[in-house]
Amino acid sequence: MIDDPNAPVLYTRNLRKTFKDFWRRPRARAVDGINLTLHPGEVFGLLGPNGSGKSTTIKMLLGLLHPDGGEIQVLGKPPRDVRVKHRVGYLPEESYLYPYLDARETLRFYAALFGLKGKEREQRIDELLDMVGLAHTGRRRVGEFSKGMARRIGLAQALINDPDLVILDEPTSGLDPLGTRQVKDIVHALADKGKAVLLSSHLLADVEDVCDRVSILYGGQVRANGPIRDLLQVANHLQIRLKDLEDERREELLSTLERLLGERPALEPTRKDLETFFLEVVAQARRESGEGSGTRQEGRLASFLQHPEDPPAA
Amino acid sequence: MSTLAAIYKLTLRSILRERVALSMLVLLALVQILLPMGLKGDGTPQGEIHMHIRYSLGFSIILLAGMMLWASCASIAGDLSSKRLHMVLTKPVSRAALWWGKWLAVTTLGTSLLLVCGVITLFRIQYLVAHSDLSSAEEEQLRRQTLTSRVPIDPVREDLSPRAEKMLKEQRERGALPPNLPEEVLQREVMNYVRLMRHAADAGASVEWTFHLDQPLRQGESFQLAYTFDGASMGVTRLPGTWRISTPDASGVFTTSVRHIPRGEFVIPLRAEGALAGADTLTVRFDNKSETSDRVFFKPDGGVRLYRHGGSFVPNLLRALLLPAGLLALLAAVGVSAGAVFSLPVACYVTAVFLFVRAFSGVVEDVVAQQSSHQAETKESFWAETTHTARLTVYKGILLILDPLDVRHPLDRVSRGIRVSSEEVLSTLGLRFLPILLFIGAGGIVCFSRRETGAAA
Repeated sequence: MIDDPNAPVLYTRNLRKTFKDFWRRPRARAVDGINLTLHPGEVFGLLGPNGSGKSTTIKMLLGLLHPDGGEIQVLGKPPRDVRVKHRVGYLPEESYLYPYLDARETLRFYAALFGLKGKEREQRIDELLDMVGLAHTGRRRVGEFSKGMARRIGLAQALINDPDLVILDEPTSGLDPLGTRQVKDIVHALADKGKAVLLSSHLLADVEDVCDRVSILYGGQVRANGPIRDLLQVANHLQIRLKDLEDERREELLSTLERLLGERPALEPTRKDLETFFLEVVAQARRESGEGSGTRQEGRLASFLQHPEDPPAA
Repeated sequence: MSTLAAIYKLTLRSILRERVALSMLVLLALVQILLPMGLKGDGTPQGEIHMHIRYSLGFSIILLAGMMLWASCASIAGDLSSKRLHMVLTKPVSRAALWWGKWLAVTTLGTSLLLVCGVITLFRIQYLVAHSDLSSAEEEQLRRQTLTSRVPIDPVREDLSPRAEKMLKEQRERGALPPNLPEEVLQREVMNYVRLMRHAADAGASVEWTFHLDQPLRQGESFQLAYTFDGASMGVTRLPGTWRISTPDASGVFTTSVRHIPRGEFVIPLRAEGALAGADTLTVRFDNKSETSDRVFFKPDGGVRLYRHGGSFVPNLLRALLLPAGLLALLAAVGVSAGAVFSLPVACYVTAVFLFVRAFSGVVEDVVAQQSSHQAETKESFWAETTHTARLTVYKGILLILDPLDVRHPLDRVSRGIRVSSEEVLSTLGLRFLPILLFIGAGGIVCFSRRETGAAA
């Protein structure tokens, strides 16, 4: 649990990092004065094109790189403090797992690193495997997993310690739309429980769906920063949604608006997004013909990740 | 503790899955099976046992060192290059725990395999003894001299400097010394001569040694007189003589006559009876009974020794194996530390340099001795001498660093039935190896802590 709900979980001020060559000559300025703040219960998106400094920033937050300047604090401490890592979960861009371990052994190993033992450990592993749809993989080695399955086990290991800060780098990469939806649901659930989530992704639709705030990096600097709703708002444009309008009344409305505005407004039917449509089709197919091969339908959110006020399982 | 255990188990599993390690294990098995078939020694059971222990087991240790070199370097460097370690480093695992877990896994595997090789060698030796066509006397001799654990006692070392100085003075007065040799060389050569002659007996003459024992001989205690010698004459000649072992006041005397072709080590079994029991000082004398003018020479170092019983063969072998096990543990420490600092190829190179310098330290010793002798004997230009001195200094520096790692050939001693004492093993492992291990470990952990593991390779 986070001690002070108002204190930032993550804080950087004027963070800088320049990569040097063997002779200590500056080679590339990867991060140049980044200011970030992340609070509990917030989902923050870190965006930018390739080489903008996202991965470098994340690695500094995790203590894998040393900043050259600026200030950086994670959960109130320097990122290399081992005590901080008890409360951080990380899903890297690629799941660098030990290929000869199966799913359960993988989670068991990472759980042991957090000091989890016995019944509590096994229970968490069972719930996480069920949650990510890998409970059926048995003794199958992680090295034989598809990319999507590897991402799922990667997500599971990132959550094994019920972290207060979760850093997800391309979490939906390689996942089918069902898996993508589930990851988004998990992110929402984590935020509802008061966790902080830092998410980095090139899939902007996913980011838009889950993030409260985003920062867009370019050339190691923050170019845009703020709540998504405010950033995406188009000035001087308004959208009105109407339901069940007959042709006659629609025409009357358009004429009235044309009279008021001096021009006829554009009319388009409301569309659902492709993800929603896909999920509906698949859900229908499942009802009709059962599970296919590969990843099974994911179970419910693991109990230790749920909000205390969430309803219990049916 | 669970963190350390988790890293330990995973590292063990990783090593056993690596093709390099598996290939080495296959090679190890082949060496254990095939090498003894090809090595027969001098045809005697003692020779064959010597081959099994000294060469078959010794070669196995070399293979194990190769495997551990790779495994230790790859334990961190390999995981870093595959980025698997990034996932681990974002967990609450200290760099120290990571280092110790990796080192423990590599060392455990190496020393366990060493123990397995030792047990296989032991079984092979017992099979050899059980299925050899030895007479009961020959088998008794084998068990007394080889399949045992003997404590060597060297004679009291005399200060021969006065004798050498006197001889040098006499030779100088007679004008018998070469004119151009440096004084240092003259003194060394005269001393060598005096030492040689001190342990020699002309035909009809005797040579004598005094032995001080740490503990007096017990009534009925078995002990041995062992000697190697050479004769001045050419060809294969049996040299006759008489050995006389007595207390200083000659109250207890044991004599035996011998007639040998000078080849290898000879052992006379003895028993402490009569006045010899309770003695803590013994005088050993050899009377040269040659009827021709054959002078007999005994090696100045180890040419004549007493041996007391110091335990049995199996514990002695196991104790001896602890010393190369300690060296393997140090090698693992160097490898893990190198892997924590460098990339995998560089780490392997650095660790290999350590391994080869240690393995060929004997060659370095010989080079230092030769170079020192050459420098003393020849006059060179200033630059040549300066270069020579600089080179010698480097070699001596290497020897100084390697000196704590010198374990004095434990397998060779075991193969000759000589005891490797517990005190020696404990002091070597505890007082020499452990501080080195901790130093290497601390250095590796500090460097690893400062390393940016998230940087691109």
